[in-house]
Amino acid sequence: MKTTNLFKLSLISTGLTLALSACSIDFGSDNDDKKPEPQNLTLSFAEISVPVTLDAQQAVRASREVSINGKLQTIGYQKIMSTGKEDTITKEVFGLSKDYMDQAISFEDGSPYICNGTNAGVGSGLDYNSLIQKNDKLYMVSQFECQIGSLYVQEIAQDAAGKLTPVEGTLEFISQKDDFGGWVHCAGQTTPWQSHLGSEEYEPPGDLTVGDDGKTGNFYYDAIAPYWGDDLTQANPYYYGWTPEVEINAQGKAEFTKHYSMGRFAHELAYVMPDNKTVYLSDDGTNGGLYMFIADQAEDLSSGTLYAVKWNQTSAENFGVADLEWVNLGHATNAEIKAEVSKKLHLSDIFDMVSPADDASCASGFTSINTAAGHECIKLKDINNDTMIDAKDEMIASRLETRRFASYKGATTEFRKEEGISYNARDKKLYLAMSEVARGMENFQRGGSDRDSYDIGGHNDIQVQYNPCGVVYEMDVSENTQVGSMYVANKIQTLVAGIPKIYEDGHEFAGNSCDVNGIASPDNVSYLADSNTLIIGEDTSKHLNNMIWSYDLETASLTRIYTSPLKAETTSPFWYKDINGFGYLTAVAQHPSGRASDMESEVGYVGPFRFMSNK
Amino acid sequence: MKLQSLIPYSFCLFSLILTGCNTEQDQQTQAVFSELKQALANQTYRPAKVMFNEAAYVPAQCYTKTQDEANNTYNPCYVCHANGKRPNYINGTDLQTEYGFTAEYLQTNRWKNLFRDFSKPIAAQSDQEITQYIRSSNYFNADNQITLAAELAKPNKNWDVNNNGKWDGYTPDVYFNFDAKGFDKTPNGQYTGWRVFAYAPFPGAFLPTNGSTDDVLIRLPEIYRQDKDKKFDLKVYELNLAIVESLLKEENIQIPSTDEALYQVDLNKDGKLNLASQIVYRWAPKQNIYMSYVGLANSLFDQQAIKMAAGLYPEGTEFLHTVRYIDHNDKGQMQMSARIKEVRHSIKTSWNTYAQLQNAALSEIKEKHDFPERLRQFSGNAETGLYTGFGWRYQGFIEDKIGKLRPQTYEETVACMGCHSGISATLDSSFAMPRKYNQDQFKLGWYHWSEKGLKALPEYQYSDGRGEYTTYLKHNPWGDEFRSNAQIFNKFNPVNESAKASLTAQIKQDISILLEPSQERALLLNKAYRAIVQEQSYIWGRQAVLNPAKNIHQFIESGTATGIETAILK
Repeated sequence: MKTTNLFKLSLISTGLTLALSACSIDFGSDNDDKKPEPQNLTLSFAEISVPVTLDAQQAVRASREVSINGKLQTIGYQKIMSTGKEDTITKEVFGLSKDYMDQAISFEDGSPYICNGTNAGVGSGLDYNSLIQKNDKLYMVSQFECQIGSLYVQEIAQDAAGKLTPVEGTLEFISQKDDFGGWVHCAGQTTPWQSHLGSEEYEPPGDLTVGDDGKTGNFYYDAIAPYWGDDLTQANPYYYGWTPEVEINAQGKAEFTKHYSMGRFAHELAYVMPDNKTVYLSDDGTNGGLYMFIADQAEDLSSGTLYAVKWNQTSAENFGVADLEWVNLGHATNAEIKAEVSKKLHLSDIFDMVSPADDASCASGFTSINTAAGHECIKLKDINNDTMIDAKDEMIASRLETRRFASYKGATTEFRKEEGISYNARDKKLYLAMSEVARGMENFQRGGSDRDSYDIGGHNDIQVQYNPCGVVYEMDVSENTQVGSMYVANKIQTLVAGIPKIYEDGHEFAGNSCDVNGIASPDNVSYLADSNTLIIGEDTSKHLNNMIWSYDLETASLTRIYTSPLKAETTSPFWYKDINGFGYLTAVAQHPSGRASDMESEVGYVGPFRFMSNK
Repeated sequence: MKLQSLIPYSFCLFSLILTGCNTEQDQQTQAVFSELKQALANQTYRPAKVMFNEAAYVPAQCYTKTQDEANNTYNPCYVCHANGKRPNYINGTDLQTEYGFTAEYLQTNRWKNLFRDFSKPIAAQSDQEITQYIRSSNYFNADNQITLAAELAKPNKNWDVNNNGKWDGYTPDVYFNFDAKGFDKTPNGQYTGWRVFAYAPFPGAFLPTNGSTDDVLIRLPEIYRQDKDKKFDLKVYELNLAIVESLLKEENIQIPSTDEALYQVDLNKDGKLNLASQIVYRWAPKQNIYMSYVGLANSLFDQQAIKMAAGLYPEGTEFLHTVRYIDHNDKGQMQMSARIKEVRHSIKTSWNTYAQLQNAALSEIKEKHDFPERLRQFSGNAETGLYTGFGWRYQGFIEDKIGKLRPQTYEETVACMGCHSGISATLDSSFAMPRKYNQDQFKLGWYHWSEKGLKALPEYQYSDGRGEYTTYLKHNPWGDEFRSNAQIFNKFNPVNESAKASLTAQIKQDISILLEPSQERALLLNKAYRAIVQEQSYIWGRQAVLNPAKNIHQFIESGTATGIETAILK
């Protein structure tokens, strides 16, 4: 995620206005501790129009009213905290990266390595925050999307009106040094057992070698050097691209783990299902896979079996209908894989590779695959040097080179930019955002024109029509005894698709290339439990202004509830239905501007909602 | 669509549109003009909803054909796309070896003017007419006032994007009236804050022989021009400019002998307050080694109200860059024309640390990976200028069809952005200051070209002793990205090796022999550019074209190898 712009109106000013008007709401005195029974919630947001004037296009605009089961509530945006904030007591700085000795990193100009873009709004920063209820307290774990990606934990106070504020003296850095440090932390989830499950996106390629100049030449990866005291020989690409988890222990301390058992790819999001064992994992980028992990034990992701999906297409209609089959990639534990990762392997230790022949065939003994790395001919090697190429080698390859191994095993690696995942337990539907339906998902095409590079030598399982506006897919979930889970997706089809549209010159919506009344490049999705409401955020260049939508699953209709300033990404919306009786839709705003000097990304929320007071 | 087949050119655009051309114009030519008319009709000063070229930030040079028909390979790419010097963390070496147009949209070169035949409009202008044209100023009126400033005081409604009745962008305020040290003054003798300097023109399109002359001025904010009592002090300003120069070049900068005690700053870093003859560059904040400004800025730096770092200009720094026609004086020496093609202005609107700049550079890599089809977007508008995202805002003025300067449209302004952000060649987003002449040169390099031209200026030498231009010629013997400058090719590529060595030695001593076009070529280039002015077809390219370009791709598939095997790191 990144952003490229200035907001003309600050989220804060919007938030303040709304917070003031929110004072008149009767919040009641519903402070009893009993959890109410699940009930059906019907939400209806006041719709925000498509911004047409320049002023509107440059402003943050959000719904100010929501009807919940027929009762009107006023909502607003409220900031929790900004990147760069120093805790005056712990002296920790929110977003400051530290090295392999947990020492703060600074640049030659003395500037601290705070993960934040330029003051003009370009760059990566804060990406996801989870709110965790533990030890009768509320914690926020935050992750940052830099090469040297930091994690912070912070206690949060909730006042009687539900307002969330950081507690001074509680901001703590979370060390990742026992697992090689963190890398490009992307989206995340608060697990049902109240831990923070993150994701290391954009995994560095395994074929990098440190040259005489002390660099690998991969400019993006080489930026990890300051973590290792500027010595890249201390690092290895296989250290990164995993699923981190942060748990808050009984003493209130954060405990960090990387789940090597869950495989390595461009993790966008790891999403735990209600059994606390089944986890879906999305793979961002071109020609990625879709994965499912079944933990051996509930609430413990340190060992389990990894699967990759096989798309068995039954129809190409409406961006595809497919039966889903899960290809078993084998079992592994964190300890087994970490031992291999620690050996600093190179891609050539894992696979023998030869170039495909002119007719795209592979030499005898090699398997033809097409993944994010393109068409390749690969052969598994004796990775552990035990003179046999066997299940142990497969285990190593399945986790270190998950995407290649999935394709090698026949799974589908043709998805284009998988993003958010969310589960609707009421209807047993799993939602998956696909930023665009393109490239590998097309049939030997790119953007509707003939092009073989994304399908040649691969399985070409997905053969659907190009949709630059993206789709939110819906998967049916049921028990699968073979897999040993109650939550296995077995069928996929489109829930809601963006609609390419040409607005002629002079039209008030000219400049949008997807219908302004539909989604474009869906990013995060979040379903509100027991409700009719799926929130869909955009990260698009196909709408002039990014939007957040509320999709009504009952009426299959979209309501626009938020528009971000021109060229600014929408914030990542995630629902928290019940934090001591209040509901929140958390959001990260990257570089809100209109403020000359305070442009840091910030975390905040829309709310508080009173879902529980409607009983 | 094959562009070349559409090219037969008629220089009767306006008569064609208004009355229809009375010569035998074929329909294809009319199609070109009607397409241009349509594209121009869409031009706006607001953030454009519809641009003719949504990738106007990618200059035409990026589509150069790196190989000729005989499979000889040329590398004009490296001057822009190599390894940036920190805090420019952009690395573009991959763009030397491969056409990296990850977005499908970028694969098509929309700079149509390059492929058009301007021979008729060139022929239609007499030498006398063009000479008269370029010698008449469009910057000053008869009363020596800045014409644009008067116009902008009551801006045309189209330019006033926010519709508040006033011009909120930069108003030209340079008088090109320099004192002995290159400081600009108003007609009534006030300093404008602008200071002009001489620099080695950047290899390629910006060599005068390829179409234009230009000059560059810098202005620091008022606090750098004042003493500790907030009074204007030219000496303070002069020293602060030298300090900025030292920080940008990371080298010692010669200054007129200065009593450090007056400023309480150890400029020469000898541990004493004495007479200094140079600003000594020694800066390593992590070792607690700092430099300092003098005057008010010194106090503000101590108060941590302003920042300072190698390779970065103070916040609020402005540059003014005029691009002009090529004139020659009575002695046949090249000079800048009075007429200005473009007035370009930039201002540093925010300070960004090394950490922030690296973050931004790296996030561009990830963005390209995640959203390969996504084009760069810029905030701002044509009235206030466009933001690069790296801390600077850019704005420009260009000739209207009768030669009056007007603000550039949104799309025309986007054309500035690609070179001023996203390439490795710049330092804090611009080109000229690190290329400024100093030390042993005339007036330490603080002078305008009108005072002294390129004659006898030495060639910039890389640390290994290679000359910059001669290295460029080695990799691109034509001296321009489109391999169209026959004057350079014929003159500087003799078969005879000793003749070549002699030319190399001559360039080392006097860059003008390479950089200056003949009078004949200059006239042609001026006429070719004026043809574009008359059409207002800048959105199709503003490079003077003498013949339809052959060595440039109209379409190139992303990922195509350039044939350049090894990237040059300079």
